[in-house]
Amino acid sequence: MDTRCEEMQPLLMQLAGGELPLADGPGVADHLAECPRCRTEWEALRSWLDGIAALPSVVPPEAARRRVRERVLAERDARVTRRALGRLGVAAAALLAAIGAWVTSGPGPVPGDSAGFRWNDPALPRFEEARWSNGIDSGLADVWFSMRDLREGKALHQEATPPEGIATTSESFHVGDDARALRWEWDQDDEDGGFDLRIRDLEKSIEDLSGEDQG
Amino acid sequence: MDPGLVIRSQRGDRAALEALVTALEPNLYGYLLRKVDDEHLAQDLLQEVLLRVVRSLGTFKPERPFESWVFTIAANLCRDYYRNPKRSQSLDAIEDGLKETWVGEGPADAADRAEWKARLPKAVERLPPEQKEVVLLRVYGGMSFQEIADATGCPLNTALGRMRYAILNLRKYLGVELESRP
Repeated sequence: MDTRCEEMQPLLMQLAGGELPLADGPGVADHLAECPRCRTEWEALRSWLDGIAALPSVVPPEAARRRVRERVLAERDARVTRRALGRLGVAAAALLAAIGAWVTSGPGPVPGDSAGFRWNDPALPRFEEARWSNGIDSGLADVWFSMRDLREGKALHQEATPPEGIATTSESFHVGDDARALRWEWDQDDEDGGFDLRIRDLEKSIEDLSGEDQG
Repeated sequence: MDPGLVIRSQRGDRAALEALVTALEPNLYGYLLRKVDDEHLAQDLLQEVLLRVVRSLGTFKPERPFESWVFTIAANLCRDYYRNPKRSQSLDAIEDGLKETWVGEGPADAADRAEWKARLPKAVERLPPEQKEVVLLRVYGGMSFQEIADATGCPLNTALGRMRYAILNLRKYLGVELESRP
């Protein structure tokens, strides 16, 4: 077996398996035309691949089929039920949040309203602005909140938070290589009906970087 | 496999999933049975593969052949079983002796084809695990050699070489059996 024949080996199997058109193999057609040994092997491989395809399928015994099918369909049913309950839960939570907001918060920010604030703390030079608004995206009385890096002009995060009396939540922000754990707190302002927003940097224990609805 | 059946199953259609299982069963069970050579174990594995299919159906990307995806799951599930050293008996000596023994006969010419087909499953069971894996994924999973290489975590040329050795071994096993028949 010469070097060229050895190079042919993997190509012959692909050819025999119908996965390499004869014309696509580099020099394959020419080599097969002049090398009876490789041509014989190719024909034998093709014949054997066709032959082993006759390996019979096997149907499991009926009792086993029934057992497997019942188990598989039960799994499907359980998953469908879990998904439906999950969707129902989300819808119920959204409805309760909307009712709660309507009952407790009075006039919140009007739909589409936004307000900005800046902080001057040098520890967080990149977080320069926060904006919020309600209603627009969700259709409910949720508030969306986003932080924006003014220098890069891109939104860093967006969160829907129901404006209950005080709602707090914690998130990690990723800005460049920085990962920061922040918490923001919503507070209904009884005097003017707007919202106050305080943002805390949990890692640096800075108590109140604060921002205030200026809208 | 009907792509519509897969998509409807992904959307939670119970009847579609049942039809999908019915369509998969013969080849999948054939693959598992030939691989583990134990009916009860093959039935347990069949159930486990199908459960994994149901659980992961949402992640299946329709651009990929569905059977290839299912048989990759099956191959992964069986991998631990095949790490049993007792089942990894090497037949290298036989392989070495066969490297230069090609003749122009295929199975159709070798003997009565019906008898050959009847002996084929037993001969496949005798193959070393890596060679048997390639044969079974090729036949029952309908997988290309590249898909087999991906599923078994080996280079394409290795998958091709295993198939070549498998054929050489099958030829040997069946030839011996045929020669020794009464």
